[in-house]
Amino acid sequence: MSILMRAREITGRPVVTLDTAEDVAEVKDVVFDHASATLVGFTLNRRGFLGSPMKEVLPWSRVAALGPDAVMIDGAGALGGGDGAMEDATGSDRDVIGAAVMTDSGTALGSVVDVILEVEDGARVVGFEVDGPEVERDRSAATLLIPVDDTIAVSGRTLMVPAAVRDFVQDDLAGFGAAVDAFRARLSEDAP
Amino acid sequence: MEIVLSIVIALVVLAAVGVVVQRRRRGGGVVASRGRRRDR
Repeated sequence: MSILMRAREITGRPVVTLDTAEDVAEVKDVVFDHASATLVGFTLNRRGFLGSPMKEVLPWSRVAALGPDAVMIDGAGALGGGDGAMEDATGSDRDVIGAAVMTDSGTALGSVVDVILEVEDGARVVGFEVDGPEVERDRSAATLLIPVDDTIAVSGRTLMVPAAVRDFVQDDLAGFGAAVDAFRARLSEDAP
Repeated sequence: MEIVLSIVIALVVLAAVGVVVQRRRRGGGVVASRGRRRDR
């Protein structure tokens, strides 16, 4: 069964080993590959108030479980160097929080306040939580959830989404999974 | 003289706390990778 969660809920969670039940780090950044919209792993901070960034990273392939309160790994050996995708992300700052979301027809939808992940065996990016002046005014929600395709176009501080996304906007996570499926079905119907 | 010293110490402590808080706040991003991978 898949679970939808906000990426920023994961940041700050402790990384706990299954063999010694020790919290060895905490999640600093959530890193995703925009070409495949999949989660590739986490950068880490040392534990404690003075916790500084660690050189080691945690690739998603070495995560044993992602729970509501902790990220579980088999042992401290799971931390280490990442693959190229992780090194690329840690080498430069491309935080999408605050980035503008623009449709391919040229409408700015607002700025990203969070990224929605679907976690099952793997984890993939399925949407953005957006705030801004273009959030439709007849809605009661303060932010809106917009689904994304399985490739996310990122250019500098702008994320590009198809204009059809406006028909699948949701107020909250309940029913968002169905909206993502419907949106992707629409895109594949429209594809030549 | 003592007052000046106290103010200087207080400012230094405040600056140190500010640096620590800033470092802690930097965490919590959602970072897009270009997906470049090394051949393995």
